[in-house]
Amino acid sequence: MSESAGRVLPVYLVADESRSMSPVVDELNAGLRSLHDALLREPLAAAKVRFSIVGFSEDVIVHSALADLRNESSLPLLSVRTGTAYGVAFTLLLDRIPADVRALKREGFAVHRPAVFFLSDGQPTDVGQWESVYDQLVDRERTPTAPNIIACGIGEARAETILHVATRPEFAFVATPGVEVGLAIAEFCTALTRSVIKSGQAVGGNDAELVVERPDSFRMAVDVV
Amino acid sequence: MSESFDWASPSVGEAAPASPVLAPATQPYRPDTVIDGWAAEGFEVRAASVRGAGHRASGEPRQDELAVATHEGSLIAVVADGVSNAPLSHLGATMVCRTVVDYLQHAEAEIDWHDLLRCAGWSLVEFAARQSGGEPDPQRAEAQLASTVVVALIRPAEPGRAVAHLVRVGDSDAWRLRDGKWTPLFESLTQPEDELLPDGVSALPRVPSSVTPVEVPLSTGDVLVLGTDGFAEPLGDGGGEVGRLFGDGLADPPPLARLAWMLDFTGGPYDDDRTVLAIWPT
Repeated sequence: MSESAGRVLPVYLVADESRSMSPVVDELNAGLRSLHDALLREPLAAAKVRFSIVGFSEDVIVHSALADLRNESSLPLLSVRTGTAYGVAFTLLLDRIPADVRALKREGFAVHRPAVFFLSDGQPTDVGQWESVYDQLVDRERTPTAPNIIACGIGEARAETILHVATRPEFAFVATPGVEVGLAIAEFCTALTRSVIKSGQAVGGNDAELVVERPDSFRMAVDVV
Repeated sequence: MSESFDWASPSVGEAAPASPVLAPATQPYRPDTVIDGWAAEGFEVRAASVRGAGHRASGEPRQDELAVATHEGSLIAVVADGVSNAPLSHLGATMVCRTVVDYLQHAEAEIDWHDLLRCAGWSLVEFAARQSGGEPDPQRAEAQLASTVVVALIRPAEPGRAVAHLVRVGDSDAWRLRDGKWTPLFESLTQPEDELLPDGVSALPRVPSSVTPVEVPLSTGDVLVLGTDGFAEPLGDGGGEVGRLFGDGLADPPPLARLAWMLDFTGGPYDDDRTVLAIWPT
């Protein structure tokens, strides 16, 4: 290599398209439009993201795959169908994400750990089936490109289910009872936009340890910076 | 004055979209660009730190920082990069640079490199405690002020020769440049077979459990270059446009403003703050 093509973050929005989403699907589509608008205003940030939109019900539809949103005039619209089978969504991701990472690397990109934004308004209709494929998807031993999953539950989705889907407790968002579902979706889309635009650096754990005690030789060089 | 010089930033790769340049919403004052350079017995130095297009567009301050100083005939060079997710990391980067210089100016001839990095890390912990008026809290210091660092201490040997010792925490980097060829001085943090980029950057106030400095002999014709990842990433292995631009531009110490001009290159996906500190043994 000489210069790399840069760094990209593959982002997957995985949205529930079950019938019960009917009342809020317009708001979700509006949230995606504002995400798109925000990225068009920040082309340098947009250049570092490849965006896929996946809808699931009892089957799964890829509405857009690894899109560079700078080149899209509009985002595909989500719709509603029947069923809430989490397993079909995770199966698709398990198939898709490693292949996507390989494809991006062939184009010369260095690839950040993919981020999945998972939104559901219901309990899974495939209890007992989705868990094993989910386990494989997020296991970094078996799936080196295992994504971070940010999960948002609205409506009937239970907190414990959303916590299970999120790869870290702080990645789980459950709409508080009484909050208007449209508002929860707007907040989810705002969080999605922010994290997509700020996809850059985070403090990462490795074997380095926090300095927890004042070294004997320490002297404060300056009071004000 | 020559009429022919084009002051527009050099462009590399695909043209970048125009993006706004907003004032950084921060106190105290923090300039977009820092330029420095001078000559001392045995060394010539040039340095620049430039806010990237990303922070210019978002109205955030430059989170990179540098410091360079002399001490008893040696040269101390420091480059730091505040971690984006830490909101006051620009102050963290400054704190780290100044602490490292102060430490090395007061150190014995035999440097305890691990202690140096621990003190630089601890400066963030104390600074965070002063800001909040609370007890020292390393976690809070990390969340607010985390910063990478690369440190070089260059001691002159015979005329035209010097020996550099370098340590780092995080992805700021260093190279020896000779005849346009870039030799990285630290082991790469990524391997070609890695599927993904590392999940995050290690940064002060975290310090590796053991620290061994890299020792590099320098002679006339060599340039020691320190840089943040905003420079390291577009440089890659040095074989591309950025490598040629700086390989030519740093063959000899350039006029002060010229390094900053080069470093303000636009194009491709490169929008991070970038800092370069170059040292020529003389």
